[in-house]
Amino acid sequence: MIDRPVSSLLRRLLAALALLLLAPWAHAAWFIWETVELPLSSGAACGNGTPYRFFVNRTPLNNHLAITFEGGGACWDQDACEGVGAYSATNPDGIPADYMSLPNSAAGGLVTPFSARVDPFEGVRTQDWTLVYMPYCTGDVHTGNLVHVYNDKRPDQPRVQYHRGQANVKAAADWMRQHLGRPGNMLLTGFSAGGVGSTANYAILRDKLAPKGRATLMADSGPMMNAPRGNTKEQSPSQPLHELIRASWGLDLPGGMIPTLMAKLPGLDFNNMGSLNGALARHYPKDRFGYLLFQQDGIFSGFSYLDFFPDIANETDPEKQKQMLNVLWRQDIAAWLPSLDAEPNISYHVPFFRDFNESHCLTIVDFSGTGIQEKGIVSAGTFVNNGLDRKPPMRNVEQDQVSDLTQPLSIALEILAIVLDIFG
Amino acid sequence: MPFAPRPALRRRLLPLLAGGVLCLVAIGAGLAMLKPARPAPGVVVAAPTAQGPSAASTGSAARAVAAPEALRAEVPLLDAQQWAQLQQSLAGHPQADAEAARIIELLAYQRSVQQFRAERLAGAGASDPTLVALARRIDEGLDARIANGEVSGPEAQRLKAALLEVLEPDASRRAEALAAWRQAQLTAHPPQTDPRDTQLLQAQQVVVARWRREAPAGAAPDALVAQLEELRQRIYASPSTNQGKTP
Repeated sequence: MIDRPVSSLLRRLLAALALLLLAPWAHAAWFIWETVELPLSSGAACGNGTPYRFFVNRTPLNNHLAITFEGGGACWDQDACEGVGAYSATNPDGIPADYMSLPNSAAGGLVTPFSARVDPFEGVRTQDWTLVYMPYCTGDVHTGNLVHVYNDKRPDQPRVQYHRGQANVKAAADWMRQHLGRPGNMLLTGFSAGGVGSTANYAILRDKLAPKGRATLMADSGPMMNAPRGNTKEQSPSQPLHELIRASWGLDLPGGMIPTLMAKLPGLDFNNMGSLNGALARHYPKDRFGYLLFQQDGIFSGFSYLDFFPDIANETDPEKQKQMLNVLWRQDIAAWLPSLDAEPNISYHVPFFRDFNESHCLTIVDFSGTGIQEKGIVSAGTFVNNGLDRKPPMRNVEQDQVSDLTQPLSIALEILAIVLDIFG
Repeated sequence: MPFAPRPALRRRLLPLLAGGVLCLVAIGAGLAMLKPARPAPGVVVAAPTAQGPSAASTGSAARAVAAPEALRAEVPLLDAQQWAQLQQSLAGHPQADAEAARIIELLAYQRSVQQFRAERLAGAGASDPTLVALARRIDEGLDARIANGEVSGPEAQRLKAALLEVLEPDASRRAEALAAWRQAQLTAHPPQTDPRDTQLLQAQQVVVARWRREAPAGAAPDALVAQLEELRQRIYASPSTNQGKTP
């Protein structure tokens, strides 16, 4: 008679405890890429208005979380938003539910070791974590907050562009918190537009997910350069780009990225989006922030300057045009790095050149060709581990401007370059 | 004896204890199927298990009992805590045994790829017979991993590129083989289409055209955005016939 209530209570307690422990994992499928379609009521959308979908690959073996933001262009006109042109925005037709099974998804299938479970080229410790892959389909580097009707190219057939990147991230963060719970360690990373997106959305995800362990950012080739309002474009070459995207993507509107971040980060300067790097570092002093880019990046520099410097846009010699872009790129880098030096929890890794994808992105395919030999750094992997391990911050800028031009790359890069050439 | 279980409680604990023993049997069975392909100091080797059903899935108790502890120590695919976590995570799963077997096979496959990577980093050339054998085994298991949704398309493509480097010495034939594989994947997995997407795009054009006709010049687009949002809500309120899994 006494046993029953005691054991019943014990059973109920155990059941409650089990439910509590397992609640975030109920019905989870382990080690399989699952599609999550965000509800329309959240405001989430791809650029063409179709539902936003992201992908999760869970492990029950630890509670760490690595989130990768996909890159792939940007847009502020009709052609680019519809996927027309070299620098156009990726996935203009939205994200199909089977996106992860397509070999040509994710920037032509280049992807990154951070979103791989079985990787023959790069071993990154986060490959054992729960992986979240945030595709890119809004043309707004995952930051926008505006529906824009672009009709500059075909007035009779305008493009309704949902720049809803920020709504996507907020809704995805809600989903992650509800279904994955609070992570142990957390890594946010992304390449190109995803590099910007991971930086811009760091505070939103960081606050929502509230990791119990270490939180780290590794933003690849998507720098938020210093570009104070009031400066001329000769002083701050990225200034016209920042001004344009603030208007085109609704970054300043109520609920937009700038007001959202202003509310979270007291150190953010409303008039300089580049101040985000320092503001993040100061607001989360125990977190680590890593930024990677090449000195010869020929793609992000194109995005940053071609539309705003007619003399460069009109240059007919491609080589000369690249050189002109690089002059501005290096000017921006030279102004940017000292501001990062001021923060003790910021690292950066800036090698010279990689003969792949116009030196744009260090973390796509693999890390070959991303080392800085004069410092004994074999590859960007060293830099990544340094951040995850909380070793003294690295400030790596390659001085050698010759050796990278002839450095051997992995066979994977060579094969994939050939295949991409074949498939366009 | 303040902590001795009372008889009634003991009866209730018996199934739990029995379950624990079964768990140990299962882990032994899971580990028993992992044969080191080429044991090397500091390198844990586990063969992919695509050759046949695993001991864990067939419940081969004899093999499980025979699983040596040494193998478990040598092949720490999962330590005891991780195994417990896995078991807990599959509690209530309608096909827990099969799911555990699948996961163990995947982890073994992952280990094989890790060994492949380690061998390459250690300088093993494309003509190394051990590396070739390893590459062949990984290649044989790739389709199953894709079919299970365990590797993404781009991830599989990278893996295929790495394997071909070993399996196809001729550079031009290697590129052709990867291109052919990629094309086969695209053919086998045509992008899923959702008819609601087309419906939305067509309806959007109508709404925008009407708004441009009727709205005063310079009008704020708030009304348009509201109409577009209502349109999205309405169109996607109906279920798609072609949806992926949404956990």
